[in-house]
Amino acid sequence: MAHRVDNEYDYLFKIVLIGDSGVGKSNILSRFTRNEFCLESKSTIGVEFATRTLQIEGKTIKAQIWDTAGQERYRAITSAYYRGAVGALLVYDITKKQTFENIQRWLRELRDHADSNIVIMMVGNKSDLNHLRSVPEEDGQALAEKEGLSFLETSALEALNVEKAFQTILKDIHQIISKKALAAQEAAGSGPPTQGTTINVTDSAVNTKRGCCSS
Amino acid sequence: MSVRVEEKQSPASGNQDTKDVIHPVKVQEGKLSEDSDDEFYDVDKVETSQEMHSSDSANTGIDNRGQEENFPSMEELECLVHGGLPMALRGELWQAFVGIGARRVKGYYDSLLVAEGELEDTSGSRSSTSDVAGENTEVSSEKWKGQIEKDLPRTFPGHPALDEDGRNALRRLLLAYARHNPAVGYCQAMNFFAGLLLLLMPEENAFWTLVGIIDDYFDGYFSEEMIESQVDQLVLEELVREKFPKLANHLDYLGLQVAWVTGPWFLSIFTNVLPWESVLRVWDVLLFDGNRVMLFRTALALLEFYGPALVTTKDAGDAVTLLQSLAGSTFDSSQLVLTARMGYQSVDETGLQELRNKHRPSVLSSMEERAKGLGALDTNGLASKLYNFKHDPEPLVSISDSQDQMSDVGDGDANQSDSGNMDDMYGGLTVSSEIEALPDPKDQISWLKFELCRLLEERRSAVLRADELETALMEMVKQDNRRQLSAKVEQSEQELSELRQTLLDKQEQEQAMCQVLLRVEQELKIAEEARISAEQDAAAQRYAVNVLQEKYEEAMASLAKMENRAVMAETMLEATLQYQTSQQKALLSPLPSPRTSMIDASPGRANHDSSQEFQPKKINLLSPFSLSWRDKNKGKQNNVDDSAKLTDAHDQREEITNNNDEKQVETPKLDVLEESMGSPKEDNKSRVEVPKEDSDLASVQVVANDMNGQHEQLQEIKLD
Repeated sequence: MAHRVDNEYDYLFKIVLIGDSGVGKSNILSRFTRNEFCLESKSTIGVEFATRTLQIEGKTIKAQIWDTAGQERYRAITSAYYRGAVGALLVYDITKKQTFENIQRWLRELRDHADSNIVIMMVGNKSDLNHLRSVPEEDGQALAEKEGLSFLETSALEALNVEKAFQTILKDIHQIISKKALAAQEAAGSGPPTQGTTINVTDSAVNTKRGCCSS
Repeated sequence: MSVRVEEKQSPASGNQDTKDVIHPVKVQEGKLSEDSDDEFYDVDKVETSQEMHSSDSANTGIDNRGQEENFPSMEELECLVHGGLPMALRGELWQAFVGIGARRVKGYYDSLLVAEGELEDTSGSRSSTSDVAGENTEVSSEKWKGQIEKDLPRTFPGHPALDEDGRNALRRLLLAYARHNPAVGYCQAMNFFAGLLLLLMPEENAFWTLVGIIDDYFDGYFSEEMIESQVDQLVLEELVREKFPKLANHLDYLGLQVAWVTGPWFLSIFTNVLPWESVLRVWDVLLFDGNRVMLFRTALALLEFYGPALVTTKDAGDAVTLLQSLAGSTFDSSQLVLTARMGYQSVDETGLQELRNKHRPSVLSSMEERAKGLGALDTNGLASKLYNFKHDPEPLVSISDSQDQMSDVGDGDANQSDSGNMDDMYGGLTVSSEIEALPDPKDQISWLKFELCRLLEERRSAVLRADELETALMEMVKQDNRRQLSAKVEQSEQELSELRQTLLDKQEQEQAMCQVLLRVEQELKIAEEARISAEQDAAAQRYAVNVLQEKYEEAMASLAKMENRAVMAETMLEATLQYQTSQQKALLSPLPSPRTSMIDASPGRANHDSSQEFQPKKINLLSPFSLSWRDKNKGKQNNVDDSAKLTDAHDQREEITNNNDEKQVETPKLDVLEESMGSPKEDNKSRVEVPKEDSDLASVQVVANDMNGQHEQLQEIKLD
């Protein structure tokens, strides 16, 4: 959830990193939070965690990133980490077609277990291995457009677009939060927050969800 | 192979016999796997592995006899375990704790490894017996293979022992396990366990130890659905709430679930979480205990250590980061093990089992929900069938199929304690085909029941979720409102303070202005006063001037009068003098004549004579003076005479004023003068006039005094 704490930051956003095993989620995380890349990283058991604070549109935002294990059977466990997440970075490997094909499964996973308003960004990682590419960038772009997601190709190794990807998703989340705050303010202005207000917000949420789901 | 099985079957195998048996196996194994274990292990580890072989069956002995008689040695062993096993013996003792002696089936590991090659050769014969089953195993083992390949370089990366050969050994180990227990297959985290075991013992022993750990200690933990691992997290959460209510409340406040942090701890059995020494010490106790209790105790000990620090954190991110770094620096392994064991003795297996049974249904229901979701995804509904099988595998297994597959192992295994495990394996290999081949109506009914239950529960959870979402949204809205309002309040407060500031400034300015005004007024007043006093002064001066003027005029008038008198007196004097000279002339020529005339004169004349006689005396007395005085003034004009007289008079007056004492002396002088002046007229007259003159002089003197006063006054004014 988006918490507001007085001192160090304006917002606290929880982001989950999901995607098939071995697509480079952990390295995207380490690149973003510590600016490190390790060719021989450990496999993630359950989840790993890191934070980074950065400025988005004049606001100090603390990104709390949960990097999940990619193996399919871990989904039962990692789906628990979706609770409270406002953003998801859905990662595939541009050199492995299968990881791209599994995007649909991951999207369904998110829709089943995450907040319906979650902001999803699709990321094609390992763009430095262009000679081994098996997923054209256009395909990724097309799928993202179809599903209504943001999209970027990144390279954790070359530190390409990793920062931008997080910036983009955090900016999107921030905009939605501010918009909601505005709507809530208007609603509050007309009267005390009754059930009617809540239903309005939920309706819009449902609409968003439909927009994402419709395929 | 059958020879070996027979040998194993012979029950009276002594120490020496087993050793003999095992060694050939090792040689063969080395050949089969193309690289020797010795390359993989350090020198001292090779020694331990050899030692291990000698005491292998002895450990088995402990396992078998331990419950009955070997208490003293057990106590000793317990002390050793809790104090930390010696590194050289660790691998060996772990194997003993897990009881691989009882598990071990000779040739099984090799057969699992050859299976890959065999599959290609015997695929024809196999597919004829169980077509779908064979494909399934192949597909899933391929899937695991891909995952294993991914994880090989990600297992203790950079460790010197895990070079090319080490990786190959790890691969074989994991593949063998996946084939041994397809229900589990390969699960991330097993790569770390296998890697750790390979560092401590030879490959095949590591395999059997891994089998023991995953199948017994962590049964249902790393399976496809990972149910037990989720159950354990719920159990732990309850324990945390019970033992550390304050910490639990704080974590709730932060929106952090205990399981988010402890889940990875349990799944990795603390590898990559604690420092190596601590990991090994925890494993010592865990493997010795023969259950997962140590996981809970260790987690609780860690939370006891670091709970107080966690309570100070302000958000979930800080809390997790802090706990990660603190746990990673738990170097005092003895303290950790001691706290875990002694501090949480109350946490025991029976209590945990009760808690697990309490929490398992909720996990199962949520898993059913998931499975249903997956079922909708997969057209063939494989997941839900798998689930059904997991809970009721026995009736679906057909023994006949499995026998020809694993006849060489199966015979020997029947006597072993873990035969059920083998059944599971068979089931995993054959069950899918059975389900599709035999659509049992009973099974269908139970399946439908499950579906119904699932639907109901799904509905319930959907409603709950909707409620939850609604409240969450409400909270968000409220929070945002609060934020907006607080921002407004802040802004208005700021404005207020600004206004106050300006007000203060204005007030200050006003005060300054007032002060200036007052000062100006005061100055004005002073100026006014000065003006008034100046006017008064001027008036007084004017008045004084007037008075002076008047006095002056008076004085002038009196002067003029006196002058007139003086002139009159002079003329009279001249006249008398002329008269006297004429008289004297007359007397001188007829000397007696005057006497005669005098005699001739009437008595009045006599009087007159007497007076005449008296007069000359006086004149004589005065003459020199009067003559000189006259002579002096004779050449001068009348005016000059007048002014000279005036100045004389002034001088005299000044003298009078200056010397009041001399006044008395001088007045007679004047009297004399006046007498001399007045005497030509009439004595009586002069006598009367003198005092008159006196009074005049006095008045003049007063005027002079006044004049002096005026002078002083003027001087004073000037000074002012």
